[in-house]
Amino acid sequence: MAGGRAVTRMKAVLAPAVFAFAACAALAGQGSPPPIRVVTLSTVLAEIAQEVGGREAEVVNLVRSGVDPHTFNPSPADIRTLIDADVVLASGLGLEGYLGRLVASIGPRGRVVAVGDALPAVLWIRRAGSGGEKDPHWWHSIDNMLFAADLVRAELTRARPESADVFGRNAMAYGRRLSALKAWAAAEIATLPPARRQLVTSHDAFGYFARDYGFAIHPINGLSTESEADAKHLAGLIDLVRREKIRAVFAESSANPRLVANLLDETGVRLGGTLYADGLGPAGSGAESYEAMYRHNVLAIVGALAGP
Amino acid sequence: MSLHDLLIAPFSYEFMRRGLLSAALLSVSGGLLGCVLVLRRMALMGDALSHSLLPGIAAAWLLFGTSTVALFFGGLIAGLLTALGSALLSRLTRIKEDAAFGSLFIVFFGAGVALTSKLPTRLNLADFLFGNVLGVSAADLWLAAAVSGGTAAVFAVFYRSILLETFDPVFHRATGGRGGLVHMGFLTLTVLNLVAAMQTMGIVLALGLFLLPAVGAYLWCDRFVSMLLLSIGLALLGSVVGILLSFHAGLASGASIVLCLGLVFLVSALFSPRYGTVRFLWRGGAR
Repeated sequence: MAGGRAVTRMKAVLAPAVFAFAACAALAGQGSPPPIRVVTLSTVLAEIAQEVGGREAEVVNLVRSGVDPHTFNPSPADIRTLIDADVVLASGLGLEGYLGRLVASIGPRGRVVAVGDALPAVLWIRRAGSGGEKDPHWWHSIDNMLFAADLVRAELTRARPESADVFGRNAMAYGRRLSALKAWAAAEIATLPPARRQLVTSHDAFGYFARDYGFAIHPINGLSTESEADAKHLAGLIDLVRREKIRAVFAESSANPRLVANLLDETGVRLGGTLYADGLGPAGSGAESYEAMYRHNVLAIVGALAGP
Repeated sequence: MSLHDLLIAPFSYEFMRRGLLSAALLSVSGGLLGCVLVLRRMALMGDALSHSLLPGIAAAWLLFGTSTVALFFGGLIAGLLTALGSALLSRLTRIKEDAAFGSLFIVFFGAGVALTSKLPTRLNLADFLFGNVLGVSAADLWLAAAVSGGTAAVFAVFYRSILLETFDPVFHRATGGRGGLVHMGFLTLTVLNLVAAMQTMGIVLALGLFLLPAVGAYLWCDRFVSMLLLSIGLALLGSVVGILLSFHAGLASGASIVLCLGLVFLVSALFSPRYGTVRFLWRGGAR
């Protein structure tokens, strides 16, 4: 190949200069290939991608904090971002009801990875009835987070094999932080007597959390925010709160607060605080990172249910 | 299931009592207002008006959260803008009021849907369009009471003007009645009632609580007073049965109230002794 020979000849001439330049660029942290473009559909996945990818990943998150991931509606600008992505990370397990339609209609250039679907099947929670619907809120279990971080590491490595070491180190460091968080959370919740581990929340988002720490969950709405509670179900919940003398009910950061307000009115219990169910908190909320979000949820739950 | 479980037990919950009371209060004002809407052929206008409330409610939610007062004023402003805007358009351009109304309300509705897709907190659009008896707050109930009482008072005070303007607007205006004012008054009352009914019935279904009892009553009555009273009665019946149905069958509250009222309407349309379909066909189509 003529081009190849020409390059070889030029290389011979320029090699020392190029080497010197490359060395300078490497020292300055530049000159590396452009970052991998990762587009995420949740704040949690954005954090994982950023932690694992480090400087080699440019992460754009489309479903911002406070936006309902169940009913997110991508704008034309979002779709352009998706088409241009190298890797698209979705929560999967049916959380993004629109995902199949979206992928089929835009045909993104990069790979679309539904992280939840790629988790080991034994970790999934299936709800009884309604065709064994899977609970898509997998990130509330730290074990799932560790799997997800490893999945993201594998995806980034596939996109850029030469940086495998970097991704591996980053994933390991992130994993250590997550494991420490898990130990902390287990110790906090251990102070709560098992009889008090009852979670009444706006929608069914804490199944994985409940499984890890032995809580019973009593959601007002179903797995998706789309599923409507009916009057009879709310009435049953009111009876349950009275009967079991549950101390607190939790609102969710991104939910319609009216139903919870009525439940509080009716039962006279207090609001245990606001939990982050569908993602991280917005800037300035004190729950912008996964660890902060998780600590917030654990402290709110333990604080409210342990009280006198 | 005992009769107690069927009829009484559901109302041992505060939220059910609130839903029922709010629907009952609005049955009174809606029953009154519906008769005028039906007789003045404003039924479809009311429907359009209900859709136009959405952007006001969405904007209020965006700026002030779930406060009932904010939602009320948001909806009120959007509804009045639609009503006044189409009245102005029909006077200042060549388009007629129905076309102006039809155009404005759909623009407003579109703006509302666009706004709800931009809301930072989760807003269940379905809750606003179709209502949710589970979310009726004490403030909603006070609002329903105020609007219902206000509407009844307006009917009591201006009964003569309303009667004249409804049945003989030409005579009413010739004798010094302010027709335009009464017309805007009706539209304002409709907006007020729609906003008050929003939480229980939803803005799309609320009009059913006003319209269906009135058309039902229209099929049975010849006198205005009896039509008003029957309309209120049917609305109350439909609300109670509808809310019980929604509880036991797990249906959305607004929809089951509308379905019960729809059944009453259908039965009236078929079997009304003087104006029903059966009677009409029995006499060979000759009136």
